[in-house]
Amino acid sequence: MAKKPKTWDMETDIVVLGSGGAGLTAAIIAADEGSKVVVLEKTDKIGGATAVSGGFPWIPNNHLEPKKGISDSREDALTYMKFIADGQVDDELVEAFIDNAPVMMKYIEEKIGFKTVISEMPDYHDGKPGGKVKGRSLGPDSFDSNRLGEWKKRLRQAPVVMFPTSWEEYEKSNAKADPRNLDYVKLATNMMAGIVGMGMSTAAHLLKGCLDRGIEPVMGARAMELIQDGRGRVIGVRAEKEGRDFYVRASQGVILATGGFEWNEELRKKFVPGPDFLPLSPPSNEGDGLKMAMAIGAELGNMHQIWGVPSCQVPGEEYDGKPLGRMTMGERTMPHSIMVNRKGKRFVDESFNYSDVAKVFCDVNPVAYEHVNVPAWMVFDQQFNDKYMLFTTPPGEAIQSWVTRADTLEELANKAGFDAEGFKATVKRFNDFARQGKDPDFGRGSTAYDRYQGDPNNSPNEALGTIEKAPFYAIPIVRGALGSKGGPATNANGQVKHVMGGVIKGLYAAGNAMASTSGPGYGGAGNTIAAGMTWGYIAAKHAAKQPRK
Amino acid sequence: MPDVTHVKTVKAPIAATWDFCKDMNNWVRYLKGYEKHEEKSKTDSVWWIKGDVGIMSKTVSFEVHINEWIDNDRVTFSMKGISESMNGKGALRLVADGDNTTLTFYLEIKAGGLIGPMVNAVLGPVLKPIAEDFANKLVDRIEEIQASK
Repeated sequence: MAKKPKTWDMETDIVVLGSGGAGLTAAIIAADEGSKVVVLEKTDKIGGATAVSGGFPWIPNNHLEPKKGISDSREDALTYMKFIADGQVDDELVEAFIDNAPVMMKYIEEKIGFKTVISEMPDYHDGKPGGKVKGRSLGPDSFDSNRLGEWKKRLRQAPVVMFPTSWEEYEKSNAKADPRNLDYVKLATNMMAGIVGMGMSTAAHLLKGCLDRGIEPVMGARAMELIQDGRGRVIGVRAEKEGRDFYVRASQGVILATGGFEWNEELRKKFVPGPDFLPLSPPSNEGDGLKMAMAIGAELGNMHQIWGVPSCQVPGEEYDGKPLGRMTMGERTMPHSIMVNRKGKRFVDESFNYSDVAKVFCDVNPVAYEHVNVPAWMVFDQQFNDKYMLFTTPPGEAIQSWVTRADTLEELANKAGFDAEGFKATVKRFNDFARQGKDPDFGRGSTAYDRYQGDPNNSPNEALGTIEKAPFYAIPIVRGALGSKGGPATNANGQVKHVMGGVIKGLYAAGNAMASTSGPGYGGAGNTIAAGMTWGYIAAKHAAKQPRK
Repeated sequence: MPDVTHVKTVKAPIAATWDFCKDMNNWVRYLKGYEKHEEKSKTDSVWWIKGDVGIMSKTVSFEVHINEWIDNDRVTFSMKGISESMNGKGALRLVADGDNTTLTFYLEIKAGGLIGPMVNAVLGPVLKPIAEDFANKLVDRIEEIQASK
């Protein structure tokens, strides 16, 4: 535990560590509740994992649903969320999330002008009790980053194409199925004009909310230790800034919003079972908040879970000096594409939600003592290339040279390294399914989610298409993660629990820095963002009510 | 189309400057992000350049063809992306200025395909510092050689 310094570099009421969706929301709320706020950000960029995401808040029972005639309720939301949490999360935490998320979203919309629209995106288990085929995933509006003034250059840039437009416009274009529907000259013009979309828009809106409240994040300040008083109450933090200690006093509390620990290899290996995974978040997510909380006796929770996603690493691509992982979406969910393991066999409904699909990379053959679906490949044919986007390669354009290519299925399997006979049998069987529009093996195309992520112009099923037109292609697919989802366990106020009972007074956690209240599951597009913002809201509300000490 | 021109004075006579510039092997390594190159023939080579466009970095390979050498005047080349839908061209032009030489470096890179307009929007702002960095290093090296004579 760090000793109390002789002098503090800054003194405030609430210190927020991290500037992603959780941290910025916490800062806004704390300020609105009358507290003085300091935000410390370890990098030179604002936005954290939120900025590189789709920027969706997933808000069950939100205020926009009734206006669209969508039926939702607290009861449905609770039923669904408890199903998602699979009995691994205390009911009081699930209830706190469900009760506060819609209040938070309405507040943020009204107070900082962060407009969203109801997307067509179904919940990730839309067919389960309480699940909805539409209404909870809220797509962000675009944002003119010039409104940030000098802070514009501090906004974290997403490493993959984040279309500089509103979600509403993007979704209406059906660009996910056919990117040719977008006007790229207009998008380029938007980009040059400083318009940002999706996660960058969400982060920018929240940053603007902070700036409007006089909160200018302290950049390049990496929190290292929590400082406690003689009774164990957290009263401040020791950070490192420009090579020296930087102490900040917090009279009401410290909120950990430092993101996950997915870029900390030691913590990954220690806590997350299964094959190692490729993080897709900013490499600064190294578990700083987790380590600081552990150092003062925090109870931990959900440490073995991640926000998983089947991913790919395009050779030579880097982000902030680390390998850039690319999330598979259309590559995996559009027709004319499947995933196979080393036996050339399919192993999952490829189109289903990425988080649950990624769990099959952990499947083990106990006798062989091996992960049966590692390594894995995504295989597609020329029909796919003709119609759909492969990462940054638009339909009809030449597939890049790093992708394995062959004129026959057998040659493709041999070149890539999976079993050719098994693969040929798999493709023959799958093609029969595709023609019938049903996948009896894994149910691909049987859910609203699968069909939404497919091609609306493809029949008889939006998610199923044959693999039969040469050339054929294969790319390696690995287990990736948008972030880890374990950390300090909290109560319904966002207060960090002590491993020996009670709470660590003055310490809060939010977002991916905390033990996720989704447990092993993923409710719908934007569950991560919504959890971050909502727990930032809850923690700040509570902290701001504490007497100043 | 993103392009940039950078002009620099070399404190060396044109003959010495040309002696250095005429051979691509002498200067390709001064391109920012240079990783390696392979000479296929007197006029053709493959370059691997790690580009950092502000949002991410990526190694891009190009087939490069030398279009012309004109003694004590210019070397021009064209670039065709292997790993990306990206093409370009460049030139080193020399003009005698007494005992010095005026060196002009021109570079143009254009992303093609559907999303080309967006890539070009990102590329535009990064070309200028690349050209400046290249020309500065090139001139420093030529002057270093000249000084050692």
